[in-house]
Amino acid sequence: MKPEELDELLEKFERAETTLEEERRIKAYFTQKESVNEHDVHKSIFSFYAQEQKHSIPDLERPKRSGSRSTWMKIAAVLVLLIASVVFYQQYQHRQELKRQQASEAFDKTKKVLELVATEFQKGKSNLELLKDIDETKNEFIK
Amino acid sequence: MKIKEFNELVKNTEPKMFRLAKRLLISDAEAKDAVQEVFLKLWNMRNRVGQVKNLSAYILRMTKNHCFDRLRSKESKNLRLVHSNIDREESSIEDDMEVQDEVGFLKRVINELPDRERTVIQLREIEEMELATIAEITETREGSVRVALTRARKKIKEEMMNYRKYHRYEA
Repeated sequence: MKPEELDELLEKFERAETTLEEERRIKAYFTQKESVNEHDVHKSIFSFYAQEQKHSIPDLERPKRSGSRSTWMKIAAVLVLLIASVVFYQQYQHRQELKRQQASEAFDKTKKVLELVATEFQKGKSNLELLKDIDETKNEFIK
Repeated sequence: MKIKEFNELVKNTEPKMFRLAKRLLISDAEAKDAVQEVFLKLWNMRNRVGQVKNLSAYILRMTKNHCFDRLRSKESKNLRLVHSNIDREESSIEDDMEVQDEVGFLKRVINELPDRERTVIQLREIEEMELATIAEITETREGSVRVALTRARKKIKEEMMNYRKYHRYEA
């Protein structure tokens, strides 16, 4: 591009009268070639715009990363829960078993005690038969 | 509109939306949120989206409106927090560090343009859109787009020349 043509284009550019095509030519001129010193301001401006065009969303990966981390956390949490519940269940079963044993032992003891009471009672009851005889004899005499 | 078509639409327009949102809201995170929210709105009206003439312009207009709303609500928040300028101090330190190079300075010049001029600069210089399309997105006439563009281009050039004058003259 000739210097006069460039100057003319830049003037038009500043008045916002350039077409997109012309603006692309200006951009290409300043970003590709080593430009003249007095236009260096334009060079940095247009290189900046060219750079900004490539700019895309920078941290779209961040939620993904944290997402995968949180899935691992979820898996770990589920595992911990599972293990805890298995351990707890086993302890619970064990304790229930102990209780059942203790209960049957207690039952046996109580049964024995009751049986003892019953036999002693029977013995006592047979002795009461004698009272009847006393009563009868007493009646014979007193009447 | 089917999910597949919608995904295609997301893929094609997302970078442009993000760049516009970032130009207006400055922060990456806020720009990303803006893009997501606009897509959510679009998804909710996906049955009507098919009837829109220039879909890309339509989406960018939604993005622009969303960002302008955000800026307005931020402005009102800043007014309320006028006495605590912690944010401002922090950002000025950051700015000073950035401004040490020319690209950083240029970025700041553009970011300090009025919202409308910033939008126009983004759509014309970076997205290379026709003035008519820009007018459609900014909901103005082509004439006012041209005026905004002229002003912005002049300011950017003058600021850069001043910067050169007071800083280095490196090639």
